[in-house]
Amino acid sequence: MVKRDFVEIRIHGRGGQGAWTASRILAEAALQLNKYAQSFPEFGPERSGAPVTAYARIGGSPIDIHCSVTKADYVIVIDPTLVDLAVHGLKKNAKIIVTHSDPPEELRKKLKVPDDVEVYSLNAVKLALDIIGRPLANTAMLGAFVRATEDKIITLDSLIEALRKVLGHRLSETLINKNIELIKRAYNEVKKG
Amino acid sequence: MTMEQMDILLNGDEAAAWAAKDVHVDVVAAYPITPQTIVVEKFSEFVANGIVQTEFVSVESEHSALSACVGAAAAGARAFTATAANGLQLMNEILYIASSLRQPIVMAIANRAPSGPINIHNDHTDAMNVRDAGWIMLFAENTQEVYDTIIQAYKIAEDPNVLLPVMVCYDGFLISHTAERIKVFKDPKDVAEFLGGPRKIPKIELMGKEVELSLNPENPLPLTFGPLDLYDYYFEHKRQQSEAMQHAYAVIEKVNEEYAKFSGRKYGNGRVVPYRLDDAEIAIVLMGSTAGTARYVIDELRDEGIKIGELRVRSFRPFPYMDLERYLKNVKVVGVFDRAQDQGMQGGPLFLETRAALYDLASHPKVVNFVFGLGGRDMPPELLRTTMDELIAIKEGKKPVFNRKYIGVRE
Amino acid sequence: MSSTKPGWKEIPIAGIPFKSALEYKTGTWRSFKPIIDDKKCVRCLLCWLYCPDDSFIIKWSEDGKRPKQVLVNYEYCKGCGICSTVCPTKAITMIPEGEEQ
Repeated sequence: MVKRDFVEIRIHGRGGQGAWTASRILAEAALQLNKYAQSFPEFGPERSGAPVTAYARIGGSPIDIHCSVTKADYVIVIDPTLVDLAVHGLKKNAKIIVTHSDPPEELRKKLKVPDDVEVYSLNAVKLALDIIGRPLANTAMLGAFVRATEDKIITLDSLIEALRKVLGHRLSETLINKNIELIKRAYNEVKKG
Repeated sequence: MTMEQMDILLNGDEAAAWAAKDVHVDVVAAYPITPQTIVVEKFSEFVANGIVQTEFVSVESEHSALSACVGAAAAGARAFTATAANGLQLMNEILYIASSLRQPIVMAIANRAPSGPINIHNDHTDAMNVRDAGWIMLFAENTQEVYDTIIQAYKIAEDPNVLLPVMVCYDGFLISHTAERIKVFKDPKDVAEFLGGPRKIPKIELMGKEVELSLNPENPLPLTFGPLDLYDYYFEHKRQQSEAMQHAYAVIEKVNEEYAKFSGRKYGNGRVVPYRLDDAEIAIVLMGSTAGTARYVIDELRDEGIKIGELRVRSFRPFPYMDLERYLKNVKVVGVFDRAQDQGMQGGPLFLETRAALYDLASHPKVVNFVFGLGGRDMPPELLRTTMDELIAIKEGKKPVFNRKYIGVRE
Repeated sequence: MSSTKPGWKEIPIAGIPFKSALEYKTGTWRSFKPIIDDKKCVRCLLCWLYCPDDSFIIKWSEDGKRPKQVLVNYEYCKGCGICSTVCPTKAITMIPEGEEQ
């Protein structure tokens, strides 16, 4: 018997903003908590600047399903120009977590978000510019995701551990620490509406 | 007692490279092609970081990649390569040479639809195209199985009764680019122990002397590999290859058992993996990553009281006809899923083989074919469910039996 | 093919030749025959080096350091004439087979 106890996460970004990396960090964080996970890109070649999608599945038992995510439990948008994409392909009671300068209440109206769906927003691009000096909101939005999911899918500690695992050999220690600061700020500052 | 292992997150390509690292292959010659690219990237990283002492040969094409592997293996090395689709097609000539020279090379294939129209996504047409090249062909379902199967493949390939090259196939992107939690051996020395140390070169008798079947200058008699072989001996050499493939059935099973003791993981009898087939009236037959998705649907139907199960073919070559007979003899309807081109054929390759395997049964089930997923077309559980509903209708006599249906294509 | 040839169980695998090339007396293929003029020969051994078969027999001095004489092994020489072309002193002449004295 196979268990279907996993959640499905979709991440929208643009090629080069680290959407796939973000899904990999999510999966790695799940592994830190002894959970099972999958991380995969929208299957295709990476195209810098073009809209790209990445996915993650996280659950308490091995995940045998191998196909794309058609309906997500959680949608994370790491580029403010792509918020429109957040509202399609959602499960009931889904949550969307987006980077945008608009407060969540306003986004809910603009995007005509269904009533059962919770909206979280945070100007993570600005926050990233302030802290790491680059408009890369992927790590910040993972912090916001942890908050929106009330630490139930992954935790801040596991996220930070996963960040080190996935990016530790690519980024300097200073930059890793700045990303950790960014994650914590995003966790505290994300608003629900 | 199983060996000590650790949980890590790897995608299918990384798992293939990781397995080659743990085997500590002597030579890798490979040329990158989507969706196999990460195998080459990851392995060259291991070489650059000094984690392995493997000779990494950068070549200018897949034809050269496999040629280099043939030469290396003939010199006694454990050789590894990886490719997909168009790269595999370019290798075609050397595939036959590798198997006829009986070189135990292992090759990872991240299955991809061949051009054209040009496509980079998954289907099994590239592997089906080379199914008669004399290679053992194992299909892995997930990232864990990619890792496990590549380690097993060396033991199968190097068995003195087999001595054939092995392809380890896994779905491009669906597995190659999907990171999953898998177990790998903590100490690669354990993998070496499983394989019985470095490659053992078989001995042959030649002109009354015992010599190594390799390009070894220490041999008491020098050997020639690959000379002209005309109508007076070619057929005998092909007959030997058929015999080796026949031996492979048992060796695949034996290695699967040994590996289970060693790792705690087992894949059916090595050749096929049955799921909920004991009392099944309906069975589906398929290969690759879709098998996992299908199990969710099977569980759903089982909950509704439908007696349905799955038989995943793991070894496509040698084709396990005896296992299909055994597992499907009491089933009423069989749906075979082909993720491969079927043009001009009565059905997809897996369907043809399955139906032929069941022909000798006194009473055989209805066998129908679903062709799906070409060029990476998605196969979600909902779509799989529609195919299984068709099988249920056929079993209940509510729908006529068809030969073949295309699933997921726009009419 | 002749039924006296060995079956698939008897021959080595992998298409490895299992007979020595020494058994193939290719000398019968020849239509031109190399003749060495021992007086012109300077024992440079280029003929031995270039021979695509192994059809030169070298007689060595007693200390094994100097070639004393170069002879042709006519059992294997196919008569290709490469030796006569590369010979720097023109010591090797190709004559039609059967016309020698």
